[in-house]
Amino acid sequence: MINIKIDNTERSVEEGQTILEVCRNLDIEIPHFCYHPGLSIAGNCRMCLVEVKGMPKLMTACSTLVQKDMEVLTDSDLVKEARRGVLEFILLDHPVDCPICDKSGECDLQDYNFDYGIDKRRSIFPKERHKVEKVSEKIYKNDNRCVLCTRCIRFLDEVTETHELTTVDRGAHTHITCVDPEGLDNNPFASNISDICPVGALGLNEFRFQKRVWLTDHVRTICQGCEAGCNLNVDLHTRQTALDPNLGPVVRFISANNYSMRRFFICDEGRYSYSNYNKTEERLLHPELDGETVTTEEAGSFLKEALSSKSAGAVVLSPLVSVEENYAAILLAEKMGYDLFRPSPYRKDLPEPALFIEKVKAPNHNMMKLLEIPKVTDMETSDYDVVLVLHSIGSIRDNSLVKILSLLKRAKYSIVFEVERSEFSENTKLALPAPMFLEEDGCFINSGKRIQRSTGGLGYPESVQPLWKWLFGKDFSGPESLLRKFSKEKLGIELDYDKIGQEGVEL
Amino acid sequence: MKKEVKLSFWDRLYLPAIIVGMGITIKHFFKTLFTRPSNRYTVEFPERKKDLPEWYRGLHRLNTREDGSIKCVACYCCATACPADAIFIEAEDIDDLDEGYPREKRPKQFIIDLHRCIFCGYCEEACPEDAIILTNEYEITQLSREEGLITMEELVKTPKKKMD
Amino acid sequence: MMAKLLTPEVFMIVKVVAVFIIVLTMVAIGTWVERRGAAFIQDRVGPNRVALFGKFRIMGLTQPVADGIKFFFKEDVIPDNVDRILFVIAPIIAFIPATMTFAAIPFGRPFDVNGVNYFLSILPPATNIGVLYILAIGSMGVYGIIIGSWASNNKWSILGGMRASAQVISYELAMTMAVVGVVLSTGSLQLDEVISAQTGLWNVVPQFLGALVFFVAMFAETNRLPFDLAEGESEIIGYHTEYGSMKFSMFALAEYANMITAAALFVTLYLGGWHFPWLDQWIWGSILAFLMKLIFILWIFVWVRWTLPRFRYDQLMRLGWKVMIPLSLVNMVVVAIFLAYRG
Ligand code: SF4
Ligand code: SF4
Ligand code: SF4
Ligand code: SF4
Ligand code: FES
Repeated sequence: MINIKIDNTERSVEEGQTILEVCRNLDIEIPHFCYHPGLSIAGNCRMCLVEVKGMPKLMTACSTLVQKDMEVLTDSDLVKEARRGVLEFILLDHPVDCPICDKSGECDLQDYNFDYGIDKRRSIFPKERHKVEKVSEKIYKNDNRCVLCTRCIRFLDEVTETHELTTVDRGAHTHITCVDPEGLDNNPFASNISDICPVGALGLNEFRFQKRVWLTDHVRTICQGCEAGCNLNVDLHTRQTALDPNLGPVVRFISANNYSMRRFFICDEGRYSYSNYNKTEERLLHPELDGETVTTEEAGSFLKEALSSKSAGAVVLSPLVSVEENYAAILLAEKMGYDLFRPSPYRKDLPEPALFIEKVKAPNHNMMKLLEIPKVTDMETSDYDVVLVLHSIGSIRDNSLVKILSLLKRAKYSIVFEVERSEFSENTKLALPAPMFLEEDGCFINSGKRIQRSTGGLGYPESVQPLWKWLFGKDFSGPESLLRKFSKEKLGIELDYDKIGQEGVEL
Repeated sequence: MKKEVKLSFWDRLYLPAIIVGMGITIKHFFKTLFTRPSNRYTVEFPERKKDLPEWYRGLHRLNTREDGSIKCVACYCCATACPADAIFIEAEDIDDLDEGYPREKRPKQFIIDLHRCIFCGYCEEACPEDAIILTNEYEITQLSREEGLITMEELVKTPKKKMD
Repeated sequence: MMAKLLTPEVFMIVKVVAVFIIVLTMVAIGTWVERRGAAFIQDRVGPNRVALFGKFRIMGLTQPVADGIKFFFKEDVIPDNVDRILFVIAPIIAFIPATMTFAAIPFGRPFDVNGVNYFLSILPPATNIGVLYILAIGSMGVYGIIIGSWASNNKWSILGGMRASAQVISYELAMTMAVVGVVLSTGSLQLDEVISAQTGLWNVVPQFLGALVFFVAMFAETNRLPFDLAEGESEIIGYHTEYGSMKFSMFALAEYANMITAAALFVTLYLGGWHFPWLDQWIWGSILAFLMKLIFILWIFVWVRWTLPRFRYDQLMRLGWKVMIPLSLVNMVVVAIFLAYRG
């Protein structure tokens, strides 16, 4: 710990960090383009210039380490003038076509220009024009907007090490170019460069001209693709007007930075999995008893009958479902003396390079491992009268599937808690509709034993209820109260949503 | 706030005031009665049309460029500004790298729901391209909800303002 | 030929039919005058679009016809929770007394043909309870309003009906006591005697106070602005909220019929009935004189409506009980003293 002065305020900060990182942790904004927490420091954009007392010139905050008794000014007139100058140079050859730029609304350049830029371009020379190119199946490139921060190039060089992009030409004619379009197609992380690009120079073909970002709601969730538990920002289209076409409620997934995990990117598989949550045809929206739609009350009375039968029961938890919902099932099993099981989640051979992608394709598999729930395939007897199976969008291994199906078929009272119509919901007496992960708050424990929180921004339809509501009605006030009880009784620590926060807590 | 109004005896009789009031109303009656219909305040609509001020906000128009292509770039600024959610746009990609004026985006569909529109003119204010304007056209009636959804093709045909 | 046909029975039928038709026509024209008059007073134009055969606009005179047709063909909705019988008969109850009252009004000079006396009112003028009859029947109109509001099963309607009944009771007192002055000075309840007593000098001159009270009470009795609290169409909800189509228009018709009757009564009691200098030597002249006076009073109804704002309910009550009734008492006492003094 050393003491430094930032904007004339004494701060005590960790040694070995750059000024920019220190300021980010202190919520002091320093505009920057080329710095990215997950990439090496390039220091080429000069946007992050700050004044350091005793230095003859302004310093780049992204590449200057803090030192004892340093005095930094992030907001002096000199700094502002420097920013204005940098922005003027960047905008010399920038089309400023924000109205048709898909980045606008979340564009760093746009924000900085509003805050620090000048209104008028003083140069009288025409701007250089490049054609918009679809450089790969996923990505388009608009060189006109590029600020040459080389973040995209560094990502492909350092993180995926595939080197598809590079800069060509010199001086004012410098622009980026794709030297290996096929590589970009096959790169399982390629779409990250659209998030990484601070401006609208690289974008996703899939999102091109689809939606303006300010018309969507944003929530932070956890990717459901595997047990790595990457953080996502989800754009939701909830302000549906009468004229809107059937654009699904989930518009896109983009990566969210998690500094505690040092994870800033997501894989393309997770990114494009958003369309799974827009399908409505297969959605189970009402309780079904023997394949017939029934009311909530009828389903409730069947549930009551099943639970009052006093016979042996089994509860099959799900690694695809949140901690809260699983815990509701665990509470039921403990109350009724039912046996608990878990299915084995589906595994997938990893593409190269795998980086942080995990083999186990279930977001909450580690909760099962943590609680040492026995596998359903290791089950000794299958004579259960009451069977409750949890399931959600995603898949489990075939042998578990067969086992669960046979359980369901044998049971007198079989209950499946499911989001979409599936083999389970077809082979059960009672199928209860479940909210999907974007519809309810919930936590997931990832492979690093980090419990992270996913926010439900959509809200579930009226006929759909989370499991704790079906089983315990008003005993709990919401998912958070379940999490509190879970953490106290199973983990031995006190947790709530505030403590978990955006970045999660390592167990 | 309590305000005491002191009425004089004359006021409290009411009748004189009433008679004065009735005098005023009958004056208006005869004035209107003996004014020729064309000079009355009321404009008898289908026969006579009112001259509108140029800032009048009537039916929308989508402006076009000289070459006849639509000026709108489907930026959704108007739809964002619209307080009534009356504008619906679907954007489309065009591959047109004109030397001086490259174009990337244009509307595939541009629909204004006149039944929702409150003719506030915010869309005109918001448009960065001067593509949408509100004209002086005010004879806008439809016989069904569907006819109130006017499309790009119709919006282009709206007559321009007189001043233009 | 005419003379042969003219028997008292035929004459009676002709009178009844004529009076009925004329009153209803005046109701229709009344609505037209009301709307056009209001428009002109407010510098507007008013309804002028409805044209005969699609061509002749005749200043919108056909508007009442169009309105009538519209009301007639509108869907007759009876809301679910109303008392169906009362709901249906209430407009009729409101309308009938309004037309019935007119029966006692002599609207022209009586004449003799072949030694038989023909009188120009439907009830024989010698009915010695003429004034009482009118006051009794006339105040029945409010039953229509109260029953209608009650049957509507709507609290706002009932409140409107309650306002109407309280208002009618308050002003009926003042009105009746004002009439007592006339009855005193005439010495008879027969309307023809009231009229003949006004030969030369109309009651409105010696009994100005009574005439004023009667005039104001008339507005309250007929629920006209500034006292239209029963209805209060623009601000407070009135008794006919649940009504529509022909049943609603019956209430409107009743209002106008009431106006006509009240105006006719005022003309009879205070403006000398069919008397008019020079004009009343002929039968037709007397009828014309009566009609002219009637129309003038009706115009005042319209005129006042578009001049004065509505009274607040407490103001209305205060005016009724604290001003109108004392004034009518004063009028009565003054007339009585005057008569006693004269012998
Ligand atoms: S990159 Fe940013 S500044 Fe440039 S056009 Fe897009 S939104 Fe505007
Ligand atoms: S395309 Fe974007 S990320 Fe790449 S250099 Fe240009 S601005 Fe930077
Ligand atoms: S005038 Fe106002 S309400 Fe109508 S479309 Fe434009 S912004 Fe929307
Ligand atoms: S604001 Fe103008 S350019 Fe943008 S979508 Fe609307 S009409 Fe088109
Ligand atoms: S962020 Fe420091 S130079 Fe670009």
